[in-house]
Amino acid sequence: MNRTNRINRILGIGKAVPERVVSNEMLSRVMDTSDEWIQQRTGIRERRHISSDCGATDLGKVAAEEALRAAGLGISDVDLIVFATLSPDIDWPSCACLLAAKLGAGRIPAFDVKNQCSGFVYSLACADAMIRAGRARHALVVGGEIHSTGLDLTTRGREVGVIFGDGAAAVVLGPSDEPARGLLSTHLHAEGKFAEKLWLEAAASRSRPRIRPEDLEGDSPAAFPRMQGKFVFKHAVTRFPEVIQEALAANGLGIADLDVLIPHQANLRINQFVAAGLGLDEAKVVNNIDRYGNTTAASIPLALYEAVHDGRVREGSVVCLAAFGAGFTWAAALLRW
Amino acid sequence: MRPDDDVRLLGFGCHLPGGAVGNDALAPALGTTADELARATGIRLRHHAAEGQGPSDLALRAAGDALAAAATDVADLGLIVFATATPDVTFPGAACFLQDKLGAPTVGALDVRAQSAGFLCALDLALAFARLPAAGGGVDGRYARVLIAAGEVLSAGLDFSPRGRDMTARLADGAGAAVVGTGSRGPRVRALRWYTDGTLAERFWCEYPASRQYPVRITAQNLAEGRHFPTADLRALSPIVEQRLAEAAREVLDESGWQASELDLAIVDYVAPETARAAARVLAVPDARTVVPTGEFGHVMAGGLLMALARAAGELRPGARVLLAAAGPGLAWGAATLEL
Repeated sequence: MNRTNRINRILGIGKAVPERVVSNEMLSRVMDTSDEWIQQRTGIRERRHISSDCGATDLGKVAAEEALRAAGLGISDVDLIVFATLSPDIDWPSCACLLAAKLGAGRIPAFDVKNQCSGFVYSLACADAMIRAGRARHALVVGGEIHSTGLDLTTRGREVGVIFGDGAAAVVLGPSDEPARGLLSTHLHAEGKFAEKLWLEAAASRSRPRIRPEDLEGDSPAAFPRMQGKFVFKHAVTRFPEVIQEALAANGLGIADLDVLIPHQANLRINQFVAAGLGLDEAKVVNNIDRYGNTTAASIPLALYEAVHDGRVREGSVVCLAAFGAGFTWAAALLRW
Repeated sequence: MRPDDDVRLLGFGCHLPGGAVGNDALAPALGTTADELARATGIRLRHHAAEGQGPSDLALRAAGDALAAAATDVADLGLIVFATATPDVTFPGAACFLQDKLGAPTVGALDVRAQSAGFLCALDLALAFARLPAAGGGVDGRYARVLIAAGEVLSAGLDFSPRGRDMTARLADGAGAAVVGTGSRGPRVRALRWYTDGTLAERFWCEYPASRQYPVRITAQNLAEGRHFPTADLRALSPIVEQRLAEAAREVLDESGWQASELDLAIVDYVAPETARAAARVLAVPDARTVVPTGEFGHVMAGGLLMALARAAGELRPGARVLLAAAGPGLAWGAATLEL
């Protein structure tokens, strides 16, 4: 394998979500909330939750196998796995190791990227750099989360508990046969100053011990995610357009050239606000948060999967993947499909 | 470009927190004696971070030294890659906290999880980003300076009771940092290979919190049972690790066209120092030229190789040949050759 000036392309995509659908109405039976309240603020109608022991790698395996089939490749063609997750199956080792074993990948480099809502775009950037450096031919890039086992599904936790869902999606990244068709560029950002505006504290290695029974209890338990929603919203609607424009400008393109925007699915209102601010027709913006909620690292490839299969993303389409979330981190990838 | 210009490790740092924790300090809680701990683990001391200190705090100290040695302003960083299995909080990752503490610009910051191969993984990525081709030819200039941090605060998750005797004296805290970029001085990477074998994942792991557990990823019962503490079957792993370390080391030596006898230094890391030394002997590296980080300051998973390299770098002559090799949970292992 040698360093290559060939750009990479998404050669196949797959997805997997748990079977159990959890509607807003079902949540309103276990906490003080309502379908109307959730839909108005987030655009979410339902999400998927696992219903028995199941890790992000169990969903990731199904998604990866579909992606490989779509790419016409076998697991022996994969020599790198990058797994984006903030809810790994176990504390360590990584989901990437576990997935490699489940897929029978043999001895290959495999690592997790912990970068929250922008984890998938960051992982795509890592896999792209590694392939172009000649360190891999084909990489599996997976985004997968099992949020439901770490949510406070009571009235106490409703602000965050209603938002997140479980799911996974995977792509196979590899060299493109056509010089102008594929992943054109990636753009990565972070601003750790706001780490505690959207975070999950415990287990926290900076505390001794890192997790205690008390972290599972109280008014605002440290073992559940916490969010200052309005603060996050304000930054999201600034950083999304910035990074989308950055990705377009880096390729000599403008908003008018963009065929499809696939934003992270954190909140439908954020995505509507961003599209309006950019002057982007809402028909060009892919949203599926109504059915899956926020699946963090899985949300972008899950939405991309749908747009590829329903024909919104076609050969030649200029597609922007854009993310903003906890960290804060934000990122974009521009592709010509 | 000057003739010697290449992507290199331009500066290093290493930080060990607090004072050394000797076996005598640990032995009573673990229900054993200092002599027995030393005999069982081959480790005499380790460092433990203070309450409130996470890996980003340790890495901040190491990064300050690395940036100074590399004569790099924090404002010029293009990316921060943090290898750790024990982030400050569950999310966001340690890289975000480090970025804030450094006052770095809003460039990319990510955590990678590859256990004891964490530094090799981060170095692999840093080299790939530093050399990323630009669309119009040449190199994408955005990643001209990449900061690698690699470290752990494992002590916050250890079992200081007799149940933890096998692991608690072995796992330790610390961080290393390196600036990677184009320059004419500093080690360059001749070869780098690392691997994983997840079929061995449960032989050396920390199971909880476990998002895969339905309906709740961690319970008071899981805590009472100590399932959130690391465990390892070192007896079963030892021969496997010895073999894989030696294989990976031979691969990078061959790729570099080097003999083990030509090495100025071999840094070989594994949670059991005697296994790391055995791998070095299989390669025929003289004991006097072998450094085992775990033997010096306990096993700092992602950080050990980089910390030991930072400590040794000042002593090495220009042109010196260095082998790095590490193995740990995953199983993840690998090796690299560096030429100063």
